[in-house]
Amino acid sequence: MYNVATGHCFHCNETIPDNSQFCTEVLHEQRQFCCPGCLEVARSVVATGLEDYYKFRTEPAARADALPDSLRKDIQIYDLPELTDEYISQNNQFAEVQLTVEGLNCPACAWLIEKRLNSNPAVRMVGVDVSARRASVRWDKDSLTLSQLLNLFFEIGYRARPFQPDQHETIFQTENKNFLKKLGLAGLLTMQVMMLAFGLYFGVFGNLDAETRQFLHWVSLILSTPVVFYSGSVFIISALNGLSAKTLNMDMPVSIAIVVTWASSAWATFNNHGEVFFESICMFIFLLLIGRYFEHKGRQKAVITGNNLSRQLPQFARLVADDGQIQDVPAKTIRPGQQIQIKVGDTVPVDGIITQGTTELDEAILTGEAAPVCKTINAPVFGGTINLSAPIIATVSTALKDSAINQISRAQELAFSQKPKFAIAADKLAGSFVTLVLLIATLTFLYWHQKAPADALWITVSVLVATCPCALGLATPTAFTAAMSKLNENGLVIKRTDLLETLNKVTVFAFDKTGTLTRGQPKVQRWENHSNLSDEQVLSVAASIEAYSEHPIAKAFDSATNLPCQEVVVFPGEGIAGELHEKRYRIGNCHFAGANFKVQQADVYLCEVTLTGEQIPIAEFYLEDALREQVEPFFRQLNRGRSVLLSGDNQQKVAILADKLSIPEYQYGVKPVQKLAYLQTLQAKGEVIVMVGDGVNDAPVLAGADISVAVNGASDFAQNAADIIMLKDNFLAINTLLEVSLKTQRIIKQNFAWALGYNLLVLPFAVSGLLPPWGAVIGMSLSSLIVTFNSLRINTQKDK
Amino acid sequence: MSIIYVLIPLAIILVLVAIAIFFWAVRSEQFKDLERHGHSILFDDDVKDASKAKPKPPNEK
Repeated sequence: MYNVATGHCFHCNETIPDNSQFCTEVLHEQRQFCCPGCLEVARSVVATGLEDYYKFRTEPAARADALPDSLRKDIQIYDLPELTDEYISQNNQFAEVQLTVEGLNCPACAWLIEKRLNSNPAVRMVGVDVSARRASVRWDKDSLTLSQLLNLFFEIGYRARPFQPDQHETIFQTENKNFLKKLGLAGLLTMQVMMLAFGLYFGVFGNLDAETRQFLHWVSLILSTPVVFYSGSVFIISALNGLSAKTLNMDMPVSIAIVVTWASSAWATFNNHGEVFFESICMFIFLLLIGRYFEHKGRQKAVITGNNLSRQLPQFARLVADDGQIQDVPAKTIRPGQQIQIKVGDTVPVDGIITQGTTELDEAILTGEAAPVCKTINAPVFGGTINLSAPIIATVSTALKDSAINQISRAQELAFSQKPKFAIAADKLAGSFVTLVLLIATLTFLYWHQKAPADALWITVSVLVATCPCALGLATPTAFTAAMSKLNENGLVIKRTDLLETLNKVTVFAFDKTGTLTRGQPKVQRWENHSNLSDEQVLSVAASIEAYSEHPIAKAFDSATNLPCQEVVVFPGEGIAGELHEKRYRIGNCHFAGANFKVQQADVYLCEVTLTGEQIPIAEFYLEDALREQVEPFFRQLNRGRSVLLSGDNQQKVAILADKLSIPEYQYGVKPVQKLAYLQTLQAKGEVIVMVGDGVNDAPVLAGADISVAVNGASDFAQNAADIIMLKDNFLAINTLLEVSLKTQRIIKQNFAWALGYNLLVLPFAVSGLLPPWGAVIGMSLSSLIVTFNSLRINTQKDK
Repeated sequence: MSIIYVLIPLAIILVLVAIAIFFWAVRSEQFKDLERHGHSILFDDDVKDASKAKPKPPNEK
């Protein structure tokens, strides 16, 4: 059970305001809640007999702050036929819909949703997927509309939204199922073949009659055939694809090994003469498949995160008709020239030009800069940005598909397709290795065909088995798997294993500023009290008034005890005024607050906020965007390549940060596409670049960089574009990444040296027909074991 | 040793059944969310109030 501290909301665990009166009985005790929303949700949960949810949950719920009434109105738009058809698929007489569910955090949530929905007679089937934060519902559309269905989610505190999985995701899902089937089949049958092999091993000591031996061989042949041709098809198909593209990849020697070993064992079984290696092939396929499956899983997760993003984009717009009536319509039906209204706290649905009102907009999603932008009549507003302080009316300038945010998204896709590709060393090696082995095998066959035609085939097969590239095939995947688990421990998710090799060629490290090196949220860095009030009183007044604002600066003032203020007015771009204890306070820039402190020039702060009461200056606050955890030690320790700072911010702030972290090069005021262009000019000069970023604006440059890292808490867009995602807020993880990649490369080289050395060593014996088949098998297995254990060293070596 | 001529085919049949069940499980999305079902056992499905049990839809066609 998740324990809620006293003074915190029982539902969402937020601090309860002082004079709140929201309580109800849950699990035989009176519980307190922070807002009517949470109270309503808890009552609804209890009333439907589902209070066990509070017993089993492992995370607090999301705060249910919006009032159910206003939400009900908002979601009714989903009943419009043009939208219903897009999201709902009809299956017999039942409709099916896929939903992304916000606030779905733990198994108890899934249980609560399934219970609550199943109690409605119209609902036929509910499937909740916690890891993907999704639910699929099959229900009777005639007795329950889509909005009523969504309402069931809202009643228990979850925000559900219909969505359409894209083609990528559907393909990934089918592939995932195929992988699982192949893996399961290989696992189950390998166990059987191994069991029979044990019987055969004992037969080596002579207490197994020829008939039983032959029987075991036949059964092994039957059992291993599906493993080779169904489970092993992953490698064989990939090798054939490589061949049709005129390249020899690592799957080629693997496939040759699988097929040749299987064929020679089958030949031995048919003729009742010679050795069989069925258990070795099955084990080999099973182990390699496990590695492939995990790699696939990692990529799939990235696709799902990317697709959940669609819920960030606004789908509805408030269209202002000619007669002044406001109507909710789907955003994509909006045409240029129409008028839309954007309320405070709403996301701007499409690009437009303001015709009425003045407001501040949070454009971080496009520019990555935290400071809001003040805009008035005739200024452009962009889709995806958030309206912070006053309602506005805008004329639509472009349709949804051409809006700024969709252009960024397209730039990202384009950059991704142009990304430089590095051939994996193993693949290059595989090419020459395969050619060499096939050449030697052919020569051996031709030679023995002349000398002793009866033995020719057998000796050729033993050459192929002896040079079986099992160890070679395992050399890179085992090292990569070990490195991946090491990186996961350090909070790094890596989407493509081959980039561990590319990392060692890196010459340039590029960083975004706001949100990446800094937190992107202003913090009070320093403040001065100019009144005779106590420090606590001043902070409490400032926090209480700022609590009424959506502005990011307001979040810097956080206090546990917020007092209720009267007559609060927000002045966009200037500040906020309110009445507290019958005194009028103004907080904002010093011009607005009406105080004249001398502005200090020595330091550059994100901004300066002044508090005045009844026109008398009380205090001034200096806000700064604080650095992330361990950024400074990271730059001190970074000893490879050169660093570049790419920021959309102004020159002064970028220069100061670059100086502070001793970053030699910086670019300021650059737009997403300019960042990418800058990177591409570097790439054209042959530089290999690591890009570290966080925002939507970084997505194109992340997609275009040779290797890209999305920092902890980065936007879904950035996470989708990046190759590596940091899950912990610790910049030193990048150093670990570099260390691990170095270590991995060293281990891979050792593995190759061993595997190739062994194969070359036994080759003369096999060619001359001196190597008995059992010797080849023992050597092959030992060689594979040595490679595997060597790879595990990546994981066990102590961090310095 | 002739017993193995019965036991091994029997084992094969059992494995085939196991594979069939596994394939069915994959197809019907039993492996979709592996995080959560470990917890399902904790949720007691015996609702205290019997009248609040899930009412079956009447319009079964």
